[in-house]
Amino acid sequence: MLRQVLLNGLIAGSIYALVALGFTVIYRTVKFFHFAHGVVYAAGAYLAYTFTVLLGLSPLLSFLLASASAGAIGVGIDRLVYLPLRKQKAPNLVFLLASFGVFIFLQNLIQLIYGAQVLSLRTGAVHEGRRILGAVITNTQISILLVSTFLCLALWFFVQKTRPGKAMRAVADDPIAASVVGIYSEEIILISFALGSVLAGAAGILISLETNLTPAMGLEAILKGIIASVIGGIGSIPGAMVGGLFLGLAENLGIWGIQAGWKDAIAFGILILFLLVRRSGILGSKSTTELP
Amino acid sequence: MTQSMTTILEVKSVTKVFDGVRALDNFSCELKAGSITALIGPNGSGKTTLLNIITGFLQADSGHVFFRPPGGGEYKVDDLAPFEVARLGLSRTFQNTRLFRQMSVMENMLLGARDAGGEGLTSAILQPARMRSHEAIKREKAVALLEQVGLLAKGDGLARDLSQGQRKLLEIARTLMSEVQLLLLDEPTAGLFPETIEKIREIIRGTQKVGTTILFIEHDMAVVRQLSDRVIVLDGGGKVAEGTPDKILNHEIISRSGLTRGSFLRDSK
Amino acid sequence: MDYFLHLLIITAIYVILTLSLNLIVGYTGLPAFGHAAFFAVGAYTSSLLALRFGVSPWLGLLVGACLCALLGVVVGLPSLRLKGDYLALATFGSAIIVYSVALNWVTLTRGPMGLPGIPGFSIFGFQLSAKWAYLVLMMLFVLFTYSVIRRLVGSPFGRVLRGIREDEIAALAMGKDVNRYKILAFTLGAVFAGLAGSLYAHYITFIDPSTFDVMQSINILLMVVFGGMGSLGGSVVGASVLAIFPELLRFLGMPEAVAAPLRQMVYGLLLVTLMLKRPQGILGKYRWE
Repeated sequence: MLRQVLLNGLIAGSIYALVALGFTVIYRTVKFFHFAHGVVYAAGAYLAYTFTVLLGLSPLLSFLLASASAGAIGVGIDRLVYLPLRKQKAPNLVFLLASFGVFIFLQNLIQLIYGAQVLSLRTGAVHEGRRILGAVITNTQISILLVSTFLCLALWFFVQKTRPGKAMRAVADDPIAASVVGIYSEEIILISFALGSVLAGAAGILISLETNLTPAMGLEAILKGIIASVIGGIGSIPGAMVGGLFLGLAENLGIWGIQAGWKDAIAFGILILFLLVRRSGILGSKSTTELP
Repeated sequence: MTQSMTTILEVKSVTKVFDGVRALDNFSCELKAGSITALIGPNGSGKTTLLNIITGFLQADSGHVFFRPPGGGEYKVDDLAPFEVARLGLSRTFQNTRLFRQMSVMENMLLGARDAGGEGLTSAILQPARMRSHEAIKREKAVALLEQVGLLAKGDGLARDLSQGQRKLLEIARTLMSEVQLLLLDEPTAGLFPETIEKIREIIRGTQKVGTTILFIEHDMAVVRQLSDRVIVLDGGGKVAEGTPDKILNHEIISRSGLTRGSFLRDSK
Repeated sequence: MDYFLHLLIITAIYVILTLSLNLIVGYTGLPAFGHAAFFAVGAYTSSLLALRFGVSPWLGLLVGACLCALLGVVVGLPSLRLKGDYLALATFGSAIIVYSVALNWVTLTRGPMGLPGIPGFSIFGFQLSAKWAYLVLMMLFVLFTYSVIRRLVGSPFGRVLRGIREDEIAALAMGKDVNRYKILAFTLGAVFAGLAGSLYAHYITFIDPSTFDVMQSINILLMVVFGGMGSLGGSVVGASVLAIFPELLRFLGMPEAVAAPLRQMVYGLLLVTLMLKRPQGILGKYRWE
């Protein structure tokens, strides 16, 4: 039923939007693809599992602790790996490869610690959902929607209205000019990683309320996140949200009418199309090409 | 000084806009075969943009560029890719020297040779004797040119290890590896010591003697005065003045358009 | 002993893969993050031809190589418009698409169940079955790949590739048809990877999509980067070390559940360390600039 599909798409899309948002916040200040963002997402989920299932903390406390820890992990990655590379003035591709390395390392660390089997964050019985507007939605799904929407709006507000947020935009637009007026890139980068990674961790936890945890969950997430960001317009915060929702809806609408396994291929097909035809995405601005 | 009166390059009403800024505004000019023309103007006046359009790296928003080599034929540059324009005999240098940094000086030179073949895939696999003799010819020419600019000793060294002056010399020497009809130089003497500037002037003079047409962007008015037959002044994307060096460099338009007084003073000695 | 020979054979396959990727990444400077796609196409093409139509593996090898050449052109096309991160992403995407096809087009590839019973090579009617025979075969192909690629990169053609790597715009200004060279680089790299795929399939007699997943592309890339970009000797060394290393872990007697992630962690750590300390790799002469 269409309304159900749309609702499912909205829920999935809201999580993609969160991942894409965190990814974009970071991309805007460092200008390379922080692929390891995906493993921060997974870490958030696994830490929440640790706090809730293994340590018996309350769900809310686990959520906050795990998200905050994810933020710390993200910042840690930046300080340990990307910062030295920035000092060396390494080219973009080196950052990308290093990011892959971090991703592979941490994903397998998770597998080493928690094992390769699927885990579940869900405790208690599965409740029946309520009917709203002709579609069925469970309490969990309502929570997911509310929390992700709240986080997206909170971040958008932060970037638009607060001073650190405006500073972030200044650095994203023109790092040199920003430093002239006293806004220094390094602090802003740190804040970006903290915020972006918290969002990633939160997204990982939210999705785990609905699905199982596997060590490889981060790969799927970051790929979707990057695709959503590019489709929505790389470097654009509203674009990330639009892209995420678009991806979630498109997947669930099954416009393609094909079985689930092809989702990835099609998502990437769309991505490549966007890259070639309109790299600026739905909401992005045209970037200048290299000139002699 | 110019032997022939034929026009080798015609820039016709070229306009180029970047993000609302008119880098070139209905600009037109003609270069006579065998002439040396200097293109001067304040920073951001559109000089490099013009060079990029002439060499096919940039598409004009309106207007055309026609290349008419002395050998015959007329080519509309707008329709050509940069490498096709280069193959017609237009060689150029860049404002920030573009060398193949992690390759040797000699390899930089060898890559500059456009005319002889041998760079194709079939040649690579079959390695026919013809390719080998082409390579030998290229190498000979490279050695001669490197000697001329004093870089032969650095032949096996990496391009990135050269000094600024050596880089500019290599870049120019590289353009001479092929048959050049029109040579376009973007600030060939910028930031160089007088001895190096002298060397570059010699090279430019030398190429003109064999009939090459030259267009160069310059900020050093002494070089402009010593080398060029004609000067074109560009400001805000438009042609502000055009004429012989004497006429232009003593004209008030220069000081009004904001060219540095420093170079002006240097020139009036 | 058999195991040791098997190890050498697998190493040889990776050497071919690494050499072929080095041509694209190390010599031409194009970030190609999806090389496993060609590996897969080569493997599946000759396997399916042999299983469905009884085509000789040798012919299958050839057809696979041709198909890979075509795919190389297709995958190479984005490189004409995209650079850096974006090209990496696009090539990554093409590998995922190929993997998806292998996994989901079940009527063609049997999906996750894989293709068992792939016939081995035969010479003059004799079926090759002994491991040492396959090792000889692999070594011949390694030699073949190495000499062809060496010839290419040492020639004026190779010089242009390196020029494109260093400065595309300068190469254009010197009259080089850069687009053509980029496509050729991808095509050549693809062909050799396809050969490796066919060789692998007919040796191992069973293939399934898991060998050709996303991480395989990254593995091969790691071998190129580790061994050294723009160094053929480096590719041989890099591939050998990284192909043999995981097997060494096995001898430490760790359970697979520990060894598998540990091995990958070492790879990840290696990649990070390389980028931080020695991005040009062990024997490489060129760095990303």
